[in-house]
Amino acid sequence: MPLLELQQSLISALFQRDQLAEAAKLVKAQGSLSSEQRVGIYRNSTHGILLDYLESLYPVCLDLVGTEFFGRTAHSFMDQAPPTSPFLADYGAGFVTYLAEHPALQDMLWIVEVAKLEWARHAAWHTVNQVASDFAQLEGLSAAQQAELRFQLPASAHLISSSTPIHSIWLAHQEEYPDKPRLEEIDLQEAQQVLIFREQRRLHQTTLSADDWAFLNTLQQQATMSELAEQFAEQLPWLFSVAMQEGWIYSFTTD
Amino acid sequence: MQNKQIITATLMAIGLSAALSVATAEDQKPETEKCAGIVKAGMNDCGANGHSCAGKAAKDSDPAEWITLPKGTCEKIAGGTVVKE
Amino acid sequence: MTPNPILGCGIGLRFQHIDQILAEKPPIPWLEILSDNYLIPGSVQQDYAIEIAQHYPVTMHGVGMSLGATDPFNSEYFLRLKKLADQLNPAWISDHLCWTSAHGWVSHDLLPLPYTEETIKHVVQRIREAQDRLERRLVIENVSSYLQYQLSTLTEWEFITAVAEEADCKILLDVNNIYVSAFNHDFDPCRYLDSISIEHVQQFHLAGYEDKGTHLLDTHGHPVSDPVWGLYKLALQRFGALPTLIEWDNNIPSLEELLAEAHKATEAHIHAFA
Repeated sequence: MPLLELQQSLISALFQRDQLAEAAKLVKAQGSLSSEQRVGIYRNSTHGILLDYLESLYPVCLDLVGTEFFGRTAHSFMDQAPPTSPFLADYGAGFVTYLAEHPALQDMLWIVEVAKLEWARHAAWHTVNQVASDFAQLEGLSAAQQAELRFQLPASAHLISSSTPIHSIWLAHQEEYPDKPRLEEIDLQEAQQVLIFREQRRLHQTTLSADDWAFLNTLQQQATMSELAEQFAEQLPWLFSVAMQEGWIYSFTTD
Repeated sequence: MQNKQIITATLMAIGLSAALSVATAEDQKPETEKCAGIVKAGMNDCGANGHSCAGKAAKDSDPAEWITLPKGTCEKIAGGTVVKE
Repeated sequence: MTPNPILGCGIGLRFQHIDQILAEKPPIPWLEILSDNYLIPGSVQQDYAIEIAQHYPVTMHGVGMSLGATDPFNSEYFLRLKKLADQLNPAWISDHLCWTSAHGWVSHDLLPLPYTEETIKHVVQRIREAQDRLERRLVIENVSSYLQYQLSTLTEWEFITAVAEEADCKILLDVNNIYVSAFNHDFDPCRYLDSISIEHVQQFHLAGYEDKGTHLLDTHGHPVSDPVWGLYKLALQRFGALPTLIEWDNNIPSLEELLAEAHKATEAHIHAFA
């Protein structure tokens, strides 16, 4: 049997339980373990490695639904969507959608919102480094150039608007966090706007006021300075001051 | 205020803030800061478990038809829909 | 630039210890960087690895080349690996004598090969190509395994010896993996050691397994076991005091505990020849 077929048969068994018996035909039975049990060790190991990874990606969801539910859901997710990239950090975005379709979560879809936040944290952490603009160079611009200025958030920025308080729920699950909200006091009806971004070696996660939220969203849609002035009027200098000091604005372009 | 005045005021605000944030560069702050409502985390908190060359033991899940219900901290959250048994 | 020499007993770099190592710069003979965790070019994780490499001699150890697979090589993977090596300047790059992907699926686990003449030809050609892509000689590691194929006609030690000779690569001998596989497949681990040609071995790995009753599982979640220390002593006597590395991936202990385990390996170097 060529190597190709052997490997296809074995890897199928890792992600399709009903292929175990077929793959076991390739394997010697030795000692107290049957050949099917031996293939099973690899199925368990592969699943265990990926479960560990998913648990570390979605630690708050893990707490929210408990290890048993999380484990079962993660295992069936892996079988449905095995990894296709050697870069492990690429894996697991689809878990959010998988949770959203889970029959047992249809009355608790706010948990899926928390999963979105956790994936955004992961994605932001792995976003590549960028070079910030030198804002001192704004001084030399003509009035026409000033009107055409556009500003960018860090490439790692994720703006998440949620109908549930995902930031508070996330905080409530952090150990040793001062003044964290108590789980019992969280009001699921409270909407929250959250910004996540990476600044060098640190990941920032914060809620935004409605004004800041609207401002950053408009920035991200690449509105020009004159459009911003139109929309935010007298508030604009203040909005920019806050955003600059918080590190929410990273660069500008003049074209 | 006219747009032009707003733009001028805004650019001044940007210039001031940029100068200010350079002056308070955060290099020396601890890796993880935990203060109410603001979360800044470093490698310890953010690096998801990566690759390793170790094997794992995991309990293989039973057939998918057997659906468990979430039984975690979600039950404590006020206003959360009570899971139907 | 010639990489810093790799001498003595080091540890595998784990995320949990990076901040502490960079802050305290404890004396560590060398560190093994798990390449696959640092493969996003220009990412913050790479910044950490680069900073570590500025202070310590490093090697790069990977799990994702899938040297024994029949899927085509993932070119992007090799490009990124090469680029990382250009930045870290490791003394060498290692990966495993196994396969991880087929059918377009990636298991992220180290799967054993059938040990046949046909597989030798295939793997030798793959290692040569990998060496060409990376522009350096590779070091390949024996994996621990839980199954043997009906198809296999050779022992693992015959297989790895033939591959290393024909592909002109080096061997990273994982002493714990030999012990685990010897238990699982009921062969004599000393016979394995004695069959490996001395000139091919570049480095040792040590780790702790878990006894599952029916088999040993290579979880890297415990201290190195006594029988593995015993086998390690024999390995030192046969191959010399080669660089050795402690791997610990589950139940990761404090940095101090991990360094203490590496220190035990250093002591074994001294006592092996006493």
